[in-house]
Amino acid sequence: MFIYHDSQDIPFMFEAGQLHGIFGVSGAGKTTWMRKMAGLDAQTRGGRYQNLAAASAVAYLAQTPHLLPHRTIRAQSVWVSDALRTERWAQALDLTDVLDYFPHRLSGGQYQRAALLRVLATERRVLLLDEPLSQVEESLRHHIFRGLMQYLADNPQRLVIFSSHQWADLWLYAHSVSFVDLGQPLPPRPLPSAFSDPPNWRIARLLGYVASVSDGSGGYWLLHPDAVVLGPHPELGLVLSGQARAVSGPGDVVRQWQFHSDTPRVALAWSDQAARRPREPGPLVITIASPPHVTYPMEG
Amino acid sequence: MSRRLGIGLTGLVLAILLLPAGILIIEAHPATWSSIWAQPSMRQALWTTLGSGAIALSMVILVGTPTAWVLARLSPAKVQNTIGALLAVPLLLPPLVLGLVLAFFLGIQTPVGHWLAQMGISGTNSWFGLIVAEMYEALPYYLLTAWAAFSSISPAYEEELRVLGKSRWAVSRYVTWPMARPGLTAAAAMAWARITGAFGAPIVVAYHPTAMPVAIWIALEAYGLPTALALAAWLLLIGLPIPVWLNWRAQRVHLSR
Repeated sequence: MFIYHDSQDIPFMFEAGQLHGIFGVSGAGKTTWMRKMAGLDAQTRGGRYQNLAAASAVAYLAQTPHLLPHRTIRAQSVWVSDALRTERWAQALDLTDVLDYFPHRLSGGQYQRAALLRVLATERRVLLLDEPLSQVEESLRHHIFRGLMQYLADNPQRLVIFSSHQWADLWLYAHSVSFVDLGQPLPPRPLPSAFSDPPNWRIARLLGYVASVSDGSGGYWLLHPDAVVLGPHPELGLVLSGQARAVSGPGDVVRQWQFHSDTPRVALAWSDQAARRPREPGPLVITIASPPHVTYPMEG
Repeated sequence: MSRRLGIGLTGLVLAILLLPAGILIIEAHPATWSSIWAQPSMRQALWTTLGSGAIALSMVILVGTPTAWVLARLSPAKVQNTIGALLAVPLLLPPLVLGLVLAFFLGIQTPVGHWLAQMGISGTNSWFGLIVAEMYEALPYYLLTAWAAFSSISPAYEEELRVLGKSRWAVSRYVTWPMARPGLTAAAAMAWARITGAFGAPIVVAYHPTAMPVAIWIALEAYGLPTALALAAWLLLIGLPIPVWLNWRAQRVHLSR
């Protein structure tokens, strides 16, 4: 267990041997927070780790990394780690072929992976990665995240924390997630349960919730398009009746369905797909399967 | 058409700029080269320039490099801008004016000159005075060029390796120095050209020991233009090749990246 106390002495507990995510909109303060955790920006008040000196145990990957232009990828990685670990991680990151290139010859995605290589090869106890794979294509990203998970499984005393503004990355690979809201990070919570209990409407919106319905006694149900099931199924969740409208794209092919409920008045939209395709536009009854029950309505 | 015009214009400007050095080299035939070398006073001036110049350049690099680094890492930007504006004063001060001020300041009548005299050093008409005058003429140029060289290196290069566990010293050797080297080389080349050509300040502060530019002026007064030109060719020989070579090297380093 790694425990980090922030500047207000709030403890953030991270289970060792796991991959943790930091999630928030662009500009929410993810980078500021990660720099603090890396012990950077000494002028702003940072936090501290319990039983851990940041200077010797934490490695940090910047969101827009700077590889040295005058050294090869291999040279600069070996300089901060060693030849063996550089080779091993280069394989995991699919960089073996370009290891002896200078950075200016790399593509955007390769550059980002080369910067990640330099950090991973240090194999420090805590790896802080700020949007590490934002420019890497989907299949390779999957491969690399799998590699990180395997590394943690083999090294249960290590910790990897990464930030992303793409919920899918966290959903697929993170054990827990810290939401960063209005510059303030919230202590990590395990996934997938963190998804069904967003702490406020801004984060709920970020997670894809589009509307809320009052339960009549001060609480609210959150509606997510992915939870829509056609037809009345009161045993599954919340039943809504209203009007469905087909939205066509080029070629007059239906691309999307928009639904407006009668009471209460809320709107939902979902892509056209066989499982959730109404027979025709017009009156429709849908069910929102297991909607989260929260204390706030959706705004904004 | 406009492209041809552009090339033509560039060629013309380059020709005009290179003309004086060309004339000097063409005019100076072997006889004049050796006639200068035969005169002890002229040989002396050559050694004076080389000797004082080497010391002045070392001092400029020694003092200027760390100062430029500190300036480049200063924040906020407002402080940098203010210092940059202040540095324009020594840069733009006419060398003759600088020489007058130095002659007064290092003279025996001021506390500094008095103190120097007590240490057995003459502030004016001495090697000390000459080197100080040369340094004053070169340091602003070195400082501004080196400052620009360091500023062009984002602190992120250093920070990202410091946070991976490298010491400040290791990072400055592995990152900062190689990246700054081309710029520092250009700065040193410019300083050397300023030092060997320093005339305005040395003629007031250090008529003796006589360095090349002052010797040329004396030769012009005493023997006329041909002798002065021959001596000028010698100054060109010691003053220019090093900067030209250093500049060429610096560019090559840049391109080989």
